[in-house]
Amino acid sequence: MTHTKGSTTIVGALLILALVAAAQAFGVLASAPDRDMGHLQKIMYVHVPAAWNAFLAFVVVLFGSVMYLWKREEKWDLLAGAAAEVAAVLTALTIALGSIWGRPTWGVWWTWDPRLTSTAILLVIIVGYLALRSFVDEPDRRARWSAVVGILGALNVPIVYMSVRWWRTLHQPQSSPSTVDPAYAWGLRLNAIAFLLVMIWLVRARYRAARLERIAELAAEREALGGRVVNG
Amino acid sequence: MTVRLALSRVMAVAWKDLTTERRSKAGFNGVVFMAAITLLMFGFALGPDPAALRTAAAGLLWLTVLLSGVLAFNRSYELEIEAGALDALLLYPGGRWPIFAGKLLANLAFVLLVEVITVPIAGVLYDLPLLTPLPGLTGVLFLGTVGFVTLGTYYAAMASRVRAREVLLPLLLFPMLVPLLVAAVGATKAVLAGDPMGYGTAWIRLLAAFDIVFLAATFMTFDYVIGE
Amino acid sequence: MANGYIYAAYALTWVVLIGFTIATVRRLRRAERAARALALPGEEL
Repeated sequence: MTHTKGSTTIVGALLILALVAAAQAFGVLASAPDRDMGHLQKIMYVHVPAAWNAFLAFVVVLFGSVMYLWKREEKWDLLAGAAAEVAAVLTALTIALGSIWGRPTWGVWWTWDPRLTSTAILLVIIVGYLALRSFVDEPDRRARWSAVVGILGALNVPIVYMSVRWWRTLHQPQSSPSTVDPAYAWGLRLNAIAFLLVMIWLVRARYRAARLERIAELAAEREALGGRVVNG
Repeated sequence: MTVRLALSRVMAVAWKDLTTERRSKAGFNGVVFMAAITLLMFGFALGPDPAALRTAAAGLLWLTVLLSGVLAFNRSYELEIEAGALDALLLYPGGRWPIFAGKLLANLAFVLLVEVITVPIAGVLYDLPLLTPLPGLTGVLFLGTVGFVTLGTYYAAMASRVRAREVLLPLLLFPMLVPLLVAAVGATKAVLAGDPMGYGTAWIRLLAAFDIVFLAATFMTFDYVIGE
Repeated sequence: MANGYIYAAYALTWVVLIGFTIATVRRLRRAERAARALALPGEEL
């Protein structure tokens, strides 16, 4: 990974955030109030991109975990860890935004529908994953255990979704949150792409930080053992 | 490794776990007491209307099993970790899965025994018909417990070797148990009510499917978890 | 009336985005400093 100047990182972040703001402005201003929902549907410009990218980040966790178990190279574990941190924040944001949308729409802050519950479970799985990583000190064991927990957790999410869906149909007909009006599609795509850039930037930055922290850790260990700091 | 040798190792691990348990009776009695008191507390929290309790009974029963069962899982590794015997166990050739299988069986026996005592207590407290649905109920309890114990034994292999294990085990385990919980409660409800809508069989089949999936996943990946 | 919710949603989004980005930049800076201090110039960063 080549060394990038500190200022480039900040410039990159600012550019991307500006893009997000632009996409949001476009979305909010360019679309007329929804027939039924009034302006409320505009929350979808933040809620849906957050949700998509939260899941995408978690897919990166799954990918990193599988790659680590296959290749046993530490960088895959660090990637998975970085992606998990981003996924945690985005998932929590998704749930909060969904709740904020749900309150004026349905009158409640929470419903037990499959999407919401699976997302909540996903958040708990990610938090558990991060907790495990923070409690295990040996890097090799941490990587192995995280990989397994991540993979099993990822496999569990669709199972939870299907179980809750079935559980619900037994009690009442499925009422899914309203699908987005096609008039909103372009605004949604723009915002989703902007958010994707944010997610990628965050994962890359945190991955880089993790790698540097490991390098510093290893170098400190070598020094502590009394030898000179050796290249490599 | 021959099947016979593998099986004998499985039984050796299971037997050792169970007999160590029997000598320290505090373990089993403590968990049973915890379960009974939990059932009682649920009663105070949700009662006193008997109809409300009967409706909630299936869920309360399984929650009680989960909360008390979790106490058992970490201790099944505790003994080895304290005595430093885990490393010796790992030195035996021929794969690590007999260790997992042995502990799984021991935990299964333990939790099933707890249920044998706890379910009648729930029956009394929540006014449940236990005799008529007994065959179905036993089947559901067994299938649900197998899945529960499989995942619990698996995650405890990690959680028990780390700080804050009492918090980490539920944190890792409970999200994985959600599908099982939903299916087990659904099946129990159906069985207790005489299964008027016929959903019971579907839930039971789902439970069995979960058990197979969890057993496969845990056995295939146990090496990553227990190895150094 | 519903507009309050919309403002809240966007405000929350920005607080989270900016806050997390700042935290990430700070962590990255700290890590860069630590690695630079301990590693030889030739070491790949």
